This record gives sequence, C-alpha cells and structure tokens, in this order.
Amino acid sequence: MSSTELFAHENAILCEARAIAAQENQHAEIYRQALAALAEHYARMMRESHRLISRSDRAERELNRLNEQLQDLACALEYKATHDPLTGIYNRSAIIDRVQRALDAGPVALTVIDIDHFKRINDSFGHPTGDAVIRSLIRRVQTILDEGDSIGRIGGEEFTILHPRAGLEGAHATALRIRESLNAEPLAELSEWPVTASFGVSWAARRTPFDELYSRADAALYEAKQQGRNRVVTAD
Amino acid sequence: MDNLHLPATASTPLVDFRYDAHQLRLEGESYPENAAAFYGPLAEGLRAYVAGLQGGEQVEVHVALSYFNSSSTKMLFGLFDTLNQAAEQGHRIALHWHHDREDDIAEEFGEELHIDFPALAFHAHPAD
Repeated sequence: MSSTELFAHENAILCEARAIAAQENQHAEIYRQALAALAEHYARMMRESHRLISRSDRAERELNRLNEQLQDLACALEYKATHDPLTGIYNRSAIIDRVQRALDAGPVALTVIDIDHFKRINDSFGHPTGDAVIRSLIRRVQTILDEGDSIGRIGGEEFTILHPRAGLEGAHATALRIRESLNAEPLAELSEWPVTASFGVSWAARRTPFDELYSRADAALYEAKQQGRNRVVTAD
Repeated sequence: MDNLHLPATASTPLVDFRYDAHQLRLEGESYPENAAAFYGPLAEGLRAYVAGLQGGEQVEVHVALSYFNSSSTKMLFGLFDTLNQAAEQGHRIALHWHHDREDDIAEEFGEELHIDFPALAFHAHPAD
C-alpha cells in the first residue's frame, strides 16, 4: 500500500499549504488562515501518531509477554516429552534418540539394567513401594555414573545407560560399582529387602544401528539373569 | 442513498451501513492489504451521509473489531473524525465500542477514542 493512499487527506492539506506558501502577494489574512488550518491538522496528526504509537507499544509489550510464556511452555513441553515422570530421567524415546545420535558421532558403550524380582517387590509391598524403589535406585545410580553418561527408563523396571566416553571396560566398571553399591547398602525405601539388579553391557563402533547395540546388551542381561541375577555380563 | 453492506472476510470486517436506519456497524477483524482502498468507499459514504443529516436523527455507530492493524486504525481515525465533526454541529451520534472484556488494549483504545472525539456519545460494551 502506498503511503499516498493512506495519507490522502494529509497530502491534500500539504499541497494546499504549499500552494499558498508559493504565492507572494496574498493578503495576510489568507496566510493566517492557511497557517491556522495547517496547525490544526498538524495537531491532529500528532494526536493520532501518539495514539498509534502507544497502541503499538502496548501490543508489543503484550506480544513479548506472550512470547516469553510460549517459550516457557515449549520448554516445559519439551521436558515432558523427553522425561520419565516417575524418575525424572530420560524416557524411552529420548534415551534411544540420544544413543542413536551418539552412535552417529562415534563408538558407544551401553548398559541395560533390570531390577531383580521386581514383580515380587510390587506384589509383596504394593505398587507405591515399587515406585519408591525405582526412584531410590535411580538416585543411587545417578551418584555413581561418570560425567557424560545418560540414563533413561526403557520401560517398567528396565533402564539404559549411555556411556558415550567409556569403552566396554569403563562401562563394565560402572555397572560393577552400581551392583556393589546395591549389595553394600540396601535402598532406604526397602531396607528389609535387598534390592539387586542385573546388568548387560555392550559396545559398538560408530554408525552401528541402535537395535544391534541394544540387542547385544539385552542378550548379555538375559545371560546375567540366567546365571542367577545380581551380576554384570558383558556382550562378546 | 443505497445502504452499504460488505460481508466479513478473513482480513476485513463486516461493514453494514444502513443509512435509512441511521446505523453503521463494523464487526470482525481488520487487516486488509490496502486499508485506504478498503475504507475509502465507507469514508466517502459516511461524509455524504452526515452532509445529508437533517438534524433530529439519532445515529448509532457500533464498532466490534476484535483485531485491527495500524493502517486500519489510521482509517478509523478518519471515520471517527467525520462523525465527531458532525456531532459538533449538533447531530446526535453515539459510538458503541464493543470489545473483549479480557482485551486491555482494546479497552484502553476505546477510552482514548472517548477523549479524542468528545462530541460523540461514547458507550463501552465489554463482552465475555
């Protein structure tokens, strides 16, 4: 839209004023009237500009406020979409995504953890206690993890640790430390029942598909269960 | 004079100007591509209408714009100025400003119209 159209009225007044100003021998009253008319329109322009500016300032403020709110909501949504509500660690899709991205960048060690006889805990003490055990165990694991490690809940009582910096031996050592910690000191939530876990550890070179890395760790975990639980098995 | 009726579109409001009933209504959203072109015929019709007022008529103008951009605002100022001048000459003209109760910006804008066009009988209508 051209400004001439939007300011057609103002333009007409401007042309009129210029035409009068170009006349050299007009009566003083003509100049006086033209000046008064111009001043009146000038005042109106000022008033309208002021209103427009203050309205747009208010709208801008409101827009900024809403934008901040949107950012906050987007962050909250992103967090909810990627985290397990019970434990606060990554959820299944988020940890898988992180492992996949780590595999795109380099070799990766992976540990799968499964709480031993978790069904019995649930059946004997109830689901709220089961949930508390999971939360407590995760807090314990988090104090043992190496810097850079990520943990996610794959489902139920099964968790995955991504070790992007450790080799197979480093990941194995971390799993051993977790196992030893659980054996040395029972979880506060269930001190009368020694909660243990079984661990499967695997390693894969860069660009290995996630499923391959994961199923090797899962097979090692199965082996650990078969061998009597409460142990760490490394994939071949 | 024929009444002026423009149905609302996504970017322009409903314009319903019933000269015979002395009622003008603007309703909807206003962000036309060319506000001068959109409001031009209405501004012209309004000027012709107020010039033909006999005196004694009660003119009711209802504005219910949920959103209007800056160039529309500029054109609205022109319309209100025409109405205000007619009211200064003694015609009875009421401006009904309809806005969302939650919309502070629209509410304040109405209050400013009341200040800037004092000859119009101003009525704010907050709606839920």
